[in-house]
Amino acid sequence: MPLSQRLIRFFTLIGGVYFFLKFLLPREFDLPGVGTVTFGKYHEQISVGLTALVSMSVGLGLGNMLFGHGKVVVYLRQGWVFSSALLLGLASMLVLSGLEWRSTRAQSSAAEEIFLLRDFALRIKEDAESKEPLSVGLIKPVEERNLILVESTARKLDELAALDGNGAESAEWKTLLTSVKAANDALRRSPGVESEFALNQALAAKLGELGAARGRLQAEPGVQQGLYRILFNGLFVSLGSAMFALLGFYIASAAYRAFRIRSVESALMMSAAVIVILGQIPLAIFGYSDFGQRLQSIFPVVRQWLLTVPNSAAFRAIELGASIGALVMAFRMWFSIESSSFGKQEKK
Amino acid sequence: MRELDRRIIYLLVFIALSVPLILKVAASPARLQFAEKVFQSIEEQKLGRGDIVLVAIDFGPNSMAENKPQTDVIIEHLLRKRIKFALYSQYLLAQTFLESIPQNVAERLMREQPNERWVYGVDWVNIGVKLGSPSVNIQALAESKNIVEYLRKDARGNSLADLPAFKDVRRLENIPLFIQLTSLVGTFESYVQFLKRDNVRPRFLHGCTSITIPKAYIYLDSGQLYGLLEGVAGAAWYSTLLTKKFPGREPDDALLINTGLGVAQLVILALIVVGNVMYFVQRRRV
Repeated sequence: MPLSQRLIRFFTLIGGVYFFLKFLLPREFDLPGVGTVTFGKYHEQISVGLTALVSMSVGLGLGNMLFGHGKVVVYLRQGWVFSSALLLGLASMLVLSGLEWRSTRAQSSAAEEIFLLRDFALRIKEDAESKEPLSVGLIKPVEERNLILVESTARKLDELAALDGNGAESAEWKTLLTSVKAANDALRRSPGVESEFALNQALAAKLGELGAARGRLQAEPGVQQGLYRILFNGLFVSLGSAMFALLGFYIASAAYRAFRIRSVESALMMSAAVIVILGQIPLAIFGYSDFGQRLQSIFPVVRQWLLTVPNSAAFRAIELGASIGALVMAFRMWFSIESSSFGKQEKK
Repeated sequence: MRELDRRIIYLLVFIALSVPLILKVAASPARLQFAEKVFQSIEEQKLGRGDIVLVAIDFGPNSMAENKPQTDVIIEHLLRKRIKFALYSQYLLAQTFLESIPQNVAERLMREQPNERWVYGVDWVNIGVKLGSPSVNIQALAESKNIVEYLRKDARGNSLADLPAFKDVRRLENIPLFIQLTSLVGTFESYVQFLKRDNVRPRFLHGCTSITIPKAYIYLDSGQLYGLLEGVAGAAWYSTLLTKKFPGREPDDALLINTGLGVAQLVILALIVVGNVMYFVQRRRV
C-alpha cells in the first residue's frame, strides 16, 4: 500500500478516535495515578486547524479548475467557449473579491489603530498600579507616557478630521471627535498621577467609542464595489434563485402527469397531501365569506394533526433507520474499510 | 382525450404566480401555531447583562424565496425589541445575506421611525461564515470558555471585544436564544446535537423550507425545537402578527409571496384533479 494511503488511513483513525472520545467522555474526569484529565482542552485550536484545512481545499479546487478548463481553452477542445467563460468569471470574481477584501480590511485597520491608543491609555494605568516589579529604566515615567499618548492621539484626530467618506460629515461623528479632543486636552493639562488615572480612563472610553464609529464608517463605494454587487447580487444570486425557481414548473408538470390514484394507499397519500397544502395556503383568496373563513379555520388544524401525529411517527422511523445506516457507513470510513473513499484497494 | 401540452401547464403556473404579485394581492395567511411560538419567544425575550441572540443564516440564493422573508421578519422583530443579535453561517453562499438583510431592515425601520437609530456593532454584529466541519465548529463554540476569544473578529475585520454588542459575552450561557434559518438538510441536526454543554442549551427556533417541514416536526414534538417558521407561510403569519403588534409598519413581501404561492399550489391541485379525471375516463373506455 502506498505511503500516502497509509497516512490517510492513520490520520482518519486518529481523528475518529479523538472525536468519538470527545463526544462520549465527560469534559473532566479523574484518572487513577494521573489526576484530573480535561479531554478536549485543545478543541478550539483543533477546530481552527480544521477550518484552515478546509480553506486550503479552496486553493485545491481553484488549481483543479485552472488546469482542467485551462487545458480545454489552450488546446481549443470541444466546449472551449464555455471553459473560457468560466475562467473569465472566476478571474473577475477573484480580482473584485480581493479588492473588496482589501477595502474592508483598510476600514478595520483604521479602527484598530484607534483601539491601540485606547489600550495604551489603559496600559499606562495598569502598569502604574501593578504590584509586580516592572523593569526599572525600561518603562518611562507615567507623565512621559501620557504625553506620548496625548501627542499620538492629537495626530490621529487631525487625520480623522480630514476624513472623507459616508457618515464622516455627520453631526454624530463630529461630536465624537470633539469629545475625544476634549478628553485628550484634559490629559495634556494633567499628565501626571494627580487625577489617579481618571483622565486616562475617560480618554480610553472616548477612544473606544471613536474606534467603533470608525469601524462603521463606510468608504465611498468604489467602482470595484459596484462591479462586485453587479456580479454577485445581480448575476449570481439572481441566476441561482432562477435555476431553482424552474423546479416549480417541472414539479407542476410532473404532478399533472404522474400523480395518479391507482390504489388505496395512493388515495390516502393524495388526501393527506391535499389537506396539508390547503392547510397552509391563504384560503382567504376564496374571499372573506363564511365559506372562506370556515376553510381557513378547519384545514390548518387538521394539517397540524397530520404533521404532528402520523407524520412524526413515520419520520422518526425513517430517521432512525437512516441514522443507523449512516453510523455503519461512518464506522466503515473510520476504519478505512470503505474502499471507494481513499483510493483503490490493491488486488490480491 | 389528449393530455395537456406541458407548455400550457407552465403558462398556467406562471400566470398563477405572477398575477397576485403584479396586482399586489396579499391575502390573509393561514394561522400557524408554531410560528406564533417563534413570535412569542422573541416578544418575551429579555436579555441579561452580556447576553446575545445567535441567528444562523444557512441558506443561499436557491431558497431565498422562502428563507429570506423569514429572516426579514425575525430580524425586524429583534431590532424593534432592541434585542441584540449576532449573525453567523456555516454556508458560504449565505455571505451576502449576512450583510444585506439586517442593513436593509434597519434602514427600513429608521425610515419608519426617524427619531430612532439602529447601529451595526451595537444592535447587531455579523460574525460571518465559518468554514470547516459544522459539528466541530458548533461544538467548539458551545464549549468555549470565551466565545469572543474563539471567534475573535467579525466579518468586517473588527475585533469582537471592541464591539458594544459583544460586551461581557463569554460562554454559551450568554446565548439564551438560537435561531436557524436554512434549507440545507442535516445542518439543523448539527446544532441540536452540538450546541449545548452540560445542562446549558439555548432555546431553539427554526425557519425551514416547505420540503423540510415534516422532518422538523419530530423535533417540535420532542421539545428540542420550541418554534418553527414553516416555509413562506410561516413568514407570512409572522408578518401578520408583527403588523398587529406594530400597526405603522411598512408591509413586507412575505404576504405577497405567500399569496402567489398559494394560488400556484391551487392550480397544481386542480391539474392533479384534471389529470386523475382524465385517467379514470380513459380507463373506463378501455
